[in-house]
Amino acid sequence: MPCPPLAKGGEGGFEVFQMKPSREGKRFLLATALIAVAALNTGNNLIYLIFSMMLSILVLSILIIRINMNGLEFRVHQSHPVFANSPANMNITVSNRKRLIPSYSIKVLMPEGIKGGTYFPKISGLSDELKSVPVVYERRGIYRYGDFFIGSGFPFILFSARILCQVKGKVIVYPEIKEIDEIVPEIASERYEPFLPRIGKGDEFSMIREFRYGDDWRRIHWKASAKTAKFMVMEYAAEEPKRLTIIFDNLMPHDTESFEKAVSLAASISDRFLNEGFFVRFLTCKKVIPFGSGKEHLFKILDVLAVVEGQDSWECPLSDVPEGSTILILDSEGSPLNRFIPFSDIVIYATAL
Amino acid sequence: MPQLYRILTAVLAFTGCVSLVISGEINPLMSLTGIGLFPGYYRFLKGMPQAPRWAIGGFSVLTLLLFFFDTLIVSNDYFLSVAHLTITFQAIKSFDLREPWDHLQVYFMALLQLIIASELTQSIAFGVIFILFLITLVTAMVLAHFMKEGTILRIGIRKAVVYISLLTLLITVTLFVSIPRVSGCVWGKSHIKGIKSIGFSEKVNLGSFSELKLDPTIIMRIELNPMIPGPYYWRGMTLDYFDGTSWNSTLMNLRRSVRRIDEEFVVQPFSGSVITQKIMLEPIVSDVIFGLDRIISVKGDFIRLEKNPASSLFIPKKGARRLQYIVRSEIVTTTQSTDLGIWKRYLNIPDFLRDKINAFTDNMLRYERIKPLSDLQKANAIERYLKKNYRYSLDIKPPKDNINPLLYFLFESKAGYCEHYATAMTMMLRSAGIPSRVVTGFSGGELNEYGGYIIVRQSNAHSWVEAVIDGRWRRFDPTPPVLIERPSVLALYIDMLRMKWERYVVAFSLSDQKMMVKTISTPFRLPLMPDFSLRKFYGIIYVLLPISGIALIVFLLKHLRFRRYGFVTAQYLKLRNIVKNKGAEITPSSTPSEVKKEAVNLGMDDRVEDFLKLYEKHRFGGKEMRGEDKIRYRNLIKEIKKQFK
Repeated sequence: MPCPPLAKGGEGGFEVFQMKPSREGKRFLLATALIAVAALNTGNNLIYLIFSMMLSILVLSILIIRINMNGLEFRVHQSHPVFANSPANMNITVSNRKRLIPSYSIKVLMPEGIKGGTYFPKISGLSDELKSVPVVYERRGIYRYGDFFIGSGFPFILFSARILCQVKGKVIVYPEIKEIDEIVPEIASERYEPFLPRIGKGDEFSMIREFRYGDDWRRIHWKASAKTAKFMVMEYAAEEPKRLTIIFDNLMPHDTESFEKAVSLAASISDRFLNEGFFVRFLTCKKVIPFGSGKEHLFKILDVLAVVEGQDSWECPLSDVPEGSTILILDSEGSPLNRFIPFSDIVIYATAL
Repeated sequence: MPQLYRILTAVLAFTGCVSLVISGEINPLMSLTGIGLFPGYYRFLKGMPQAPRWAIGGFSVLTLLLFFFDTLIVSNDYFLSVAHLTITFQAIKSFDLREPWDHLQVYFMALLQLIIASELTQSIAFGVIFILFLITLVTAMVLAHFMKEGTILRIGIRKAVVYISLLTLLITVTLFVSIPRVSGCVWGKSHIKGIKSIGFSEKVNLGSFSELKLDPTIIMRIELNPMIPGPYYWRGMTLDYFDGTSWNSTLMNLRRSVRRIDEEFVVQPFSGSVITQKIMLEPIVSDVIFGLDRIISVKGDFIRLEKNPASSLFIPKKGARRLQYIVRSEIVTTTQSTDLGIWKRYLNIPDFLRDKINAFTDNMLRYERIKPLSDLQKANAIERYLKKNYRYSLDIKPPKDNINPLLYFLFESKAGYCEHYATAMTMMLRSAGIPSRVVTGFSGGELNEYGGYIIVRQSNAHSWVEAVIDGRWRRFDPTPPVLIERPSVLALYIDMLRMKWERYVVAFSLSDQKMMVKTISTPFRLPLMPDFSLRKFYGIIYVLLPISGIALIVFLLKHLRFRRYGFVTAQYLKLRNIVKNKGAEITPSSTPSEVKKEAVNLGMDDRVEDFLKLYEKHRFGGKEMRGEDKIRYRNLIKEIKKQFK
C-alpha cells in the first residue's frame, strides 16, 4: 500500500502538511518578537543582527522541514491475522525519492487506534528503509489505512511537522482472544460434563476431503492429493460428534464497554472449543454461522465478531431443540433473549464481565 | 548524552559570558562569580554528579539579593546589574545541568547575554563571538533535536550541520541587510558609551589636549575621492574668546540650520572641483562634525545640520552615536569671510596679558627685514618664529607660582604642543591687529593601504590658527612637525577588518539600504525605493508593531493548533475538553468509554453516548462522513455544552 505523502485528499478535512511549534519553539518565537522590539527601540544594528539570526533559524526550521519531508514515500504491509490488543507485526517502508538530499529524523505515526510507531534517523537519497514494527490495534473492526502520519522536527527543536499519508486498503482486526478459564471457570470445571473432552475412538476412517486451512498436515493423503492435484486429507469420524452452540446477544446492548468484553469472550470461547475439536455453531441477531470445525471455521466466526454491532431485533431462526451444548452470552439480565436460558448449559452476562 | 552536546553547552555558556566581558563595561568584582563556570563545566564534562538542589536554590536566592545590592549601590545601573546577574546564573547553572531543558536554559541565557553585550560594545570582537555563537547554537539545536527524539547519534550529520550553519549565516546576512532600519530610543537609554574628546566644546582649557595627544583611540576613518596628498586639516570647532587660561566659543548661540536639498545639506554654493570624503565618525561626545577645509555640502543619515558664522558644523542632539556621512569640500587654505560683522571679537586679548603680548610681538616683528610689513608677512613671520624658536613637547609641567600658562610657554618653558602654539600665535596676531581665531580639529592621519582609507586618532587632535588676511580667512599652523610612528602591517590589516565591521554592520543604515536597492534596480530599470521617511510614522509604528506581533503569534499558535486534526477527531477532542474542564480525570490515554464513564459521573445524559457511538462509527467503523453528520456532531456538542452549563 504505497503512499506519496503529499497526495491531496483526506477524510473530514485533514490537512496535507501540518506544522506546529514545540514548547521550545513557542519560547523562541516570543524571544524573537521581544528582540525585534528591542532592535526597533534602540536602532542598534547588533541587535538587528541577533534578530536576523533568530529569524533565519526560524526560516530555516520551516524550510528544512519542508525539504526534509519532501519526496518521501510510504508503504505499509500488515501481516495477518490481527487481533485487538495483541502485538502484530507491521512492515513499514519509507523511501526517499530525493536524489541528493537525505531525510533525517523521520517518524511514522500510527493512526488513532493503533499503538506503535517507528523512527528512521536517516534515509539517504534514492533509498528505502524497511522496518518491522510491532503494533497493537486497540479495537476490533475494520481499520482503513487513511491517516498514517510521517512526522519530523528536523533540524531544530522549534517546530514539528507531519504529513498525512492516506494509504488505501483496510485491515480486519479480530476481537481479542483471552484465556477463558479464569473468566468463565465453569467451562473448565468437571461439573460441566458436556464441555469436558470426550475420549472417542476417533481413528475410524470416514472420508477423504479437500484440505482446509487449519487441518493437520499429517493427515494429508498423498496418493489422493497426487491424483487430484489438490491437497486431500483423511477425515476420521469421532465416536460422538461434540457440538456447541454459542448464542451471542447483540440486541440493543446497554454499554459499549461490556459489549466489547462480550465480543472478546465469544471469540475466545469459539477459539477454545474449536481447538478442542468441537463443532461450533454461532448465532447473533442477524447472522448464523452453522456448525463447523477447524481454523477456517474459527475465522468465519471471527469475521462476524470483528464487525458485530448492536441490532434492534432478533431475526435469527433457532429451533427449540438445541443440538449439543449451548453457551448463551447475554447483554444483561433483562435481555429479551432470556428465553434461551432454559436450554443453555452456561449463561454469561456481559455486564458481569 | 553525547560528549559533543555537553561541550557545545559549555561553549555557549562561555560565549555569552565572554561577550559581556569584552565590552569592558562589566564590574570585575560583581562578575567574579563567573569563575564558577570553570569548575562547573569541568565537573559536567567529566560526568561528575551535579550540585544538590538545596545548594542551587540557596545560591539562586543569594544571587537575587546580590542583584538588588548591585542595582541600588554598586553599579547603580539596572542594565549592568542584569549583565552581572546573567554571569552568576550561568555559573550556578553549570552545576545544575540534569535535564535537556537545563541546556536550553543555558542557550537562552547566553542569547540574553549576547543582546546585553550588543548594547555595551560594538567592537569587532563581538562579531567573532556572534559567529561562534551562531555556529555553536545551530549545532547544539540539531543535536538537541536528536536528543529529544531519544536517538544516540550514529548517523553522519556532520555534513548536514555544516550546510545548515552556512545557510543560517547566509540567511542571517540577507535578512540583516533587508530588514528596514527604523530606530529611536523610545524606552530606556542607550548604553553605548561615547569617546570623550576634549576640544570640541564651548570651553577648552589651555593644556587639555595633552591627554588626547597620547590617546591612540580611532576617531574617524575617511575614504577620500580622489585621494590627495596631505597635509589634511579636518576642521571642527572655532574658538574666539581667550580669557587667559581657556578658550571659549561665543558663536554657539548663532547657529543656523543648513538648507537641505535632495538629502544633501548645502553648506555653501560652489560649482568647482571638490574632494569627497566618506567619513565614519566614532561615537565621540560632541555635536561637531568634521571635514576638510572649505565644506561645501554634507550628506548623511541625520535630519538637521547647523552651522555657525565661523563655518563650524553641528548635528543637534547627536549624542554619542556612530555617524557616517559624506562631505564634499573645496581644498583651499583661504576662505571668504562671512563673519566680517563680528571681527572685533577676533581681536580680543585679555587685559592682563595685553602689554606683555604687545611688547613681545612688536619686539619679534622688529627683526623682520622688510618694512612696512603686510598682514600676511606679519602672520608668516609669527608662524615661522614660533616654529623655529619653540620646542614641541607633550611633557609639560604645570607652571609654578600662578604664572599664566601662555606666558609660561612664551617666556619660560618655550616648549609645548599645538594648543600653546596656536594660542600664542592668535594672541600675537591680535596684538598685531590681525583678527584671528583658534580652530580645533584633527590633522594628518595614517593611510591604510589595505582598506584605502585614512585613520584619524585622538592623537591626531590638533589646533591651528585662522587669521583674516586681505578679507579672507587664511590657515596658519605654527606647530612644528612631529614624527609619527607608523603602525605595523598587522595592525593596519586588523584595522581594515574593524573598519569593514563598523562600516557594513555597526553603521549599516537606511541610506545603505536605499543605495543597495538603487544599485540592484539600475540594470533592470526597476522603480527606485521611494523617498520615504519612517520617522514621521514612529508613533504609529510603535503602537502597531507590538500589537500586530502579538496578534500574529496568537493567530499562528491558534491556527496551527486547531487544524491538526480531522473533523471527527477534532469534535471528539472538543468533547473530551468539555468533560475535562468540568473536573473529570481525562488523560491523553483515556479511551472513549472512560470519557463516557466520567461524563456519566458528572451527570450527563445519553447525548454523550450518542456522540461516542457516532464517533466510533466514523472513526473506526469505516462509515462515510456526510454533511448532515457534521451538523449532528455540532448539535450534539452544543447540547452537551448547554447541559454542562
